[in-house]
Amino acid sequence: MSSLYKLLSFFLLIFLFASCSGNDASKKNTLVIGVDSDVESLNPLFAYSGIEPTIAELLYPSLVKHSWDDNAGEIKSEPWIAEYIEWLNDSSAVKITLKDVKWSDGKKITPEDVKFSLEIYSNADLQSRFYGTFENFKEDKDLRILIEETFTLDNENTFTLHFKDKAKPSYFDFDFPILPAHAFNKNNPKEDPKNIYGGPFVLDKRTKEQSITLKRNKNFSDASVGNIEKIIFKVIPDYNTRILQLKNSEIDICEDVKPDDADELKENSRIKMAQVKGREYDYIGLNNNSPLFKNVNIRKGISYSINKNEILGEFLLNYGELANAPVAPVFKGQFNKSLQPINYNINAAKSIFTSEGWKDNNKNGILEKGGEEFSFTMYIPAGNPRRDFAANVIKNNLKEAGIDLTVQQVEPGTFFDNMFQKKYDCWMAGWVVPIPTQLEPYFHSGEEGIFNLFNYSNKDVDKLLEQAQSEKNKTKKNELYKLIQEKIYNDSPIVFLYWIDNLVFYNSSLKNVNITPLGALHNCWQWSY
Amino acid sequence: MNKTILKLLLKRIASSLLLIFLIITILFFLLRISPGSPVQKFISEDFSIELSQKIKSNFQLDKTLFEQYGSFIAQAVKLDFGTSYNYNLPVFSVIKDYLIFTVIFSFISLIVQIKAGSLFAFISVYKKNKYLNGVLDSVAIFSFALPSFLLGLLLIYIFSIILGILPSNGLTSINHDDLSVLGKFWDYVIHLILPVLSLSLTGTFIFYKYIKESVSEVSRKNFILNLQAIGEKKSKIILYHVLPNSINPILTIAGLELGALLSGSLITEVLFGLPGMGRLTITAILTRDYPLVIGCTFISGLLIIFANLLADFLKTVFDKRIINTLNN
Amino acid sequence: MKIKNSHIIFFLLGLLFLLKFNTIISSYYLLYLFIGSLFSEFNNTISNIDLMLLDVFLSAILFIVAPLLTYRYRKYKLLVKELNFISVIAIILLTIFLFAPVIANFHPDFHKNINVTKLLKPFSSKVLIEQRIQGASESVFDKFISLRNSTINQPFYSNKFFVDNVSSDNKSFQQKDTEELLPPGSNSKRIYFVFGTDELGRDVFSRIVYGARVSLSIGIVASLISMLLGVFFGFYSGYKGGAPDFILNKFSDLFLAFPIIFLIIFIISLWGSSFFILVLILGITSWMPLYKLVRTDVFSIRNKDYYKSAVLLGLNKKQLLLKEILPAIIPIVVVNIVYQFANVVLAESALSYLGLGTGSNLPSWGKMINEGQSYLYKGWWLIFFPGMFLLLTLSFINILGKRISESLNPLSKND
Repeated sequence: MSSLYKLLSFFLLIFLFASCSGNDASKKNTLVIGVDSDVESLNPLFAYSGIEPTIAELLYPSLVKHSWDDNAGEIKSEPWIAEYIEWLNDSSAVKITLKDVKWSDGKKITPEDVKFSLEIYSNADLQSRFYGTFENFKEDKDLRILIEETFTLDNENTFTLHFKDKAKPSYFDFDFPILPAHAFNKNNPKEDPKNIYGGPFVLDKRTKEQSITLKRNKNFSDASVGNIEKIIFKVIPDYNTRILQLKNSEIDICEDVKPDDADELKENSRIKMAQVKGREYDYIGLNNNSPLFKNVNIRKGISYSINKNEILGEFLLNYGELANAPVAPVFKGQFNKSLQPINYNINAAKSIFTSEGWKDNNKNGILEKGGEEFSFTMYIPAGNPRRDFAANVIKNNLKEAGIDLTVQQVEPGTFFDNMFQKKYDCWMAGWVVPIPTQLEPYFHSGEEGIFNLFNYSNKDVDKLLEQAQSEKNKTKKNELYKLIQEKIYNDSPIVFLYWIDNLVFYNSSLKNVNITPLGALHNCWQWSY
Repeated sequence: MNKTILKLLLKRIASSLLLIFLIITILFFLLRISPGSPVQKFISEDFSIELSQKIKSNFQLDKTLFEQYGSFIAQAVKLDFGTSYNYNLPVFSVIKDYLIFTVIFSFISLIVQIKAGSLFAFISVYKKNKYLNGVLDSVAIFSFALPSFLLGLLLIYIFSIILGILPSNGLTSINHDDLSVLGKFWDYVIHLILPVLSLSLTGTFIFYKYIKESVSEVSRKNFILNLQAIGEKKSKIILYHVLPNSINPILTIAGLELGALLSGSLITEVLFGLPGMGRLTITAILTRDYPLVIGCTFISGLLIIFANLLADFLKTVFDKRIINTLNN
Repeated sequence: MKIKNSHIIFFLLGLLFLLKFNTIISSYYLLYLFIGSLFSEFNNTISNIDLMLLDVFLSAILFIVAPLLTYRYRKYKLLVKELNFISVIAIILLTIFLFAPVIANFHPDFHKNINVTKLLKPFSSKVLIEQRIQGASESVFDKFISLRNSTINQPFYSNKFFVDNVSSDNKSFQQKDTEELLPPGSNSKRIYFVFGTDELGRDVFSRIVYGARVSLSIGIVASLISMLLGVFFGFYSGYKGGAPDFILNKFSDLFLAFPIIFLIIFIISLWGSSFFILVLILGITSWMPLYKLVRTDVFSIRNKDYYKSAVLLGLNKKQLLLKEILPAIIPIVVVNIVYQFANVVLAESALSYLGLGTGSNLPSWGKMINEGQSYLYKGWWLIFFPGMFLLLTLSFINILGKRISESLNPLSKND
């Protein structure tokens, strides 16, 4: 029996210790960020997913930096480690002078580093995250930048980038983290680079699946740097635990808080909420070539049948707004305010279906036409509570309209594979729209429309999209975008559901926090305690 | 005597190797018949034909299935499973860190299971307290029926959410590095209490059941009754006579249990955010990181087989002792 | 007087009859109308047959048949036995499984007015208002349709809605902070959500009742598959011996050395998941233990005299299996299938917990727990009740397995 007592006293001891070893260690000027998954790689070349790009931007500086102009609803760019940026010859080239800034090992950041970055990012063998995005540069057939024709060194701090003919370059074309050339193994650039950084922070320590610690870069000088000494990305896969730690001040900031938890968290005086207007929307994709959905009225009827307001009100708790077209309301200049979202209107839906010849003759609650019942399957990715919720509401809504909907959850990897291979006729997914707005990949019927998974085809829209893409004048461009939205709205190629706000909660003692659609952690190096 | 044992073990090792060979063969073909090409992620339609060819030949997809299989096996023998798509690192160097954690975690849990299981079993056999036995037996029944995620959620709910005394996630606190050596150790301990509890409960009562059965069977044997009759000390009887004679089934169970633990305690790792093999494997599967999937499965299979071999080996060792005592 | 198993069956059915008097009576009337309308409008009636309708008819018929059968076989050993924990749970589970549409208050997917019924605590109540649809009751067929819509639990009703409260004079209702007049000709009914509601306002109790069917049928079908495979391979291996035996045996070792949960996840992630795929995978990946047992048994039977004489008598393979081997291995098969059943139910709940379940919105218990996890702070009941049912069911199966193996093998009984 004595060993039982030993065991018991051991546990008692543990609890005593556990309860007194609180969280009182020095957290001075440390920003702890709760993230849901660990990075797979800290190599800036492969920082594809999740938090990786954010970390890469903190570690490696860029020629330009961005901020969000909330009044105009658009992005503003200005030189960062570039001293001057000067457009030449009608924007076919740009002359850039670098500031006198140093890498963390004391070496100067030179134009050679920029040249190296361009080379390595566009290297087809490496498949870096920027590979294939340099369409305004002169490239070979493997999309490798022709560096001799592109890059000319003017003096030790100044260089010129030459773009290809008829290109319409902008700041975004050279907005990539600059990599230290001397940190990479020339023979095998795939290897992780040495720990040399140039951004506001340098890597301090990484514990796999636990945390990534960054500390302030002593060699980085910028007037707007805040007083945060350490940034810790703490990996907490479980959502409930993240919220728990947010409440206990174990983490200082947490993104993507569920609306259900927001109300309770708002009462907590130690944390503040930032409600960032969404640039993510959910939609129901419909294959515009399929016999059922090629009729625009049917697509609209389905849209009328769905009670988007109930999902918005009960799941998103109105932290979001109804969507009517693919331009986010945050882009105030481009957003077409005159379009009214297609609201839930069951009678309108029913009369549309009736006039299209769908009737319920056998009174089993499902409409028929020509002996066929009005039923289809909607595929959704598994493990997303919002889409589960929405799918349940939509299923019932469509039942009311006389449509038999089957919801099939698919494991996300398989789902997205199939979605991109256009294997589904109806599915629910979402897009995070890029900044600046890009519609061509999503709605162009030609080769440009790589994300036009619903086979939308409207020649007018194609033409307008091409015009908008090449238009330099902002006002004209915005007008074109408004027109495109109207056309897409009228065609309803997909059912637009709602824009989803990003709810960010952060420690209320943090100062200078300005959370924008650019991302919750964008510019977090400027924050202070 | 030793030679026969050695021969037996060698035979077991040979057949285990055959098994591993079969496992990776099956995996290889499963991957090749699976929908979608493994290089899909890397080849876009924009590429020139030469580049696509180059990437394909990097993955050796331009060869026949059997050539691919041949080189795959040749590489696998050297523990080289290629480069993980997600991590851009050789598969084995990705697995390494997770493996260390899993091995340590598994052994802690196994020790807890055996220790607590045998404690309960001996209490049950020797205290002969009817009430206590009833409680233990019903807890055992419930523990077999309790899904580990339910137990984990319950523990988190009680100790982390309501009482707030134990962390529910991760292996270390963020201030782990600032702690003293003792503090660091303590940090690990408090982080591992809930995972170990939720992982070990079922196993504890499996051991309880088997140890109880085999101990009470041995205890009824005449030679034990004899020893009791001549007044041998109870602890001595248990240690030198009961245990060696009842160890065989216990070791078999321990081998199976260790194998299961080493291949990753998926649910516990997911629930408590621990960096173990189970989570690595499931992430690899769900993100289609095929080289990593093969690597993980191979290592897991290896560990399961290793655990069973270990149990077999220990059995022969104990068997020898029994034989020796009989000879004396 | 001893309380016997047959008594609890009568008691449960009687209780059900009292509580669900309306539903039961109308399902008989529905059956009558259905047969009537078969004669008047055959095609339309046939096209209205679906699983839910058959389900209700089946429970209506069972409701008469079950007590009769129980009475007829009241002297049967199993029913005469004195009441204990196992038989109570077994009878309750069986009742839930068979009479789900009668027991449940709602269709598992039913939700309406989410803002009124969302995340209600256990034992809260709301008022359900039903507007009467006028007219359209001329023909038998129309009567059948309207009765069907009101009798069978539908996932959706256009004429029913939830409100917080109804005034005492039954003229107006309160919903949130507004008060409105009740539509004329509507009746209201107070609904108690004994197990609370989930984030969509669905009744947790009804979902658990229907979920029992999902979880249990996955268990039954998958363990049957694994039994068939195990017995067949085991027999084949033991009967043939030699090379086929060697290959099969290595093959089963292979499966045993493989972390099966990963194989299952792997297959699901590659080929998607549905109820049938899940059941098939769970069945296929769990035949090995039974195979090993059957194989050893067949080997030992082959050396027994009675088997040798049967072979000498010239029985063919089929006869040998059915007459000589099967009866001898039945005990281990039964015990194994019971434990297998528990394993499968557990595996399914673990997979659902990881979000890799049936892929449909069938409410299995594991799936309910998984969904409830997001509401750990706001709705403990979303995990607690399905968890309790899972735990009770699994312990019941484990105890059952233990009892069966004890009764089949009296030597294993200790103490």
